[in-house]
Amino acid sequence: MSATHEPDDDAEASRELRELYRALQPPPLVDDADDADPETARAVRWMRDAWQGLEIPAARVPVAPRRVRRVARPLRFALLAAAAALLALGGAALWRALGRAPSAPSSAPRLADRPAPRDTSGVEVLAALPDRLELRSGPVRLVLLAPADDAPTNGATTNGTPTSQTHDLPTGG
Amino acid sequence: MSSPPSGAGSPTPELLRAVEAGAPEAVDAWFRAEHPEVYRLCFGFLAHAADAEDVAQEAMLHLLQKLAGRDAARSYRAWRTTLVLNRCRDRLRRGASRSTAEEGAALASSERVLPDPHDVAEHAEIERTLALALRSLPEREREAFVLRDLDGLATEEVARALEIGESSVRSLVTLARRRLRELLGARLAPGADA
Repeated sequence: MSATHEPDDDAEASRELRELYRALQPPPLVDDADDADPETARAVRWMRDAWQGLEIPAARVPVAPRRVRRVARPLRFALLAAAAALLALGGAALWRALGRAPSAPSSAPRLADRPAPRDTSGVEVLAALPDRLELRSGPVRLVLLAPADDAPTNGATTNGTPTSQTHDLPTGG
Repeated sequence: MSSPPSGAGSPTPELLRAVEAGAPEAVDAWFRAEHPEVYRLCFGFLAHAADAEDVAQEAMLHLLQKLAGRDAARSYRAWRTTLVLNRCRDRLRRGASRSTAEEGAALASSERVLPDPHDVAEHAEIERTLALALRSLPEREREAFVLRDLDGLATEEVARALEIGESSVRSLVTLARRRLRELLGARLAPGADA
């Protein structure tokens, strides 16, 4: 008799279990520790007070960064470029004054590839580039180059970034 | 409960501009204001005083170097938090500040009532307990707990800093709080902070 009712009982029990399972709610995730249970809130509060009361060790304040190179470097290069341009123009004018055919500076062959000049009294511009100027006067060749990067001066910066020089800061919170 | 935020006073835009321009007084003022905040964050993430001191000093110099190039659309505090967090993660990856199970067990088994966190005379014990408790947390839980419950960031700010969802932040923080309650709950004087 009972055996005939067992499947129905099992089905009923399963159904109730399923309903209970579906009705389950996860415990709420409280956003603020204030809303947690009192013991949790107390533990969090102790941690926070201890953390905020930490003794801060002495630190070394970095020396204020200087930005000399950021300004000086382009200015120096601009001056050099202007000087190179003046030299190139002066050389060309001198060349014309001496009645010679001017040669294109950038396409002029290198000194080693050219035949030796018969008249050594003039100045010839061999190349006038933004970072280099080559002049020749008779057997003498003059090459002016843009300066390479200097070693940074004491306390100066590279690209404006500060150095790591520091001075001591007393302990304090 | 008292209001959590400790780093509420971010440097003013004027001060930050002066620091970027390299004004010595501004750099000094910025450093004095920011170093304690950065040190506390480092202590929280690393749970180790000596490592926190080292990383905080490095992070301050790094912050100073990167200040001018930071994304102006992002808040200064969020930028600072991310930079400090990354420095601390780097340090942890190099193997320092590892927690041990024995340390957590020792903390949990102690029966001594925790000192008042404002008691200056108990400073060493408070710092030691704080470090041990933080070290007992897994790294992700610790990061979320430090930012949310100690530094007082909002959940969405923590989510952005950790690059995870807000629900994940809530889960991590809940787990961390539960662990801390189990570690410290029995040692807290009842009603001491009521």
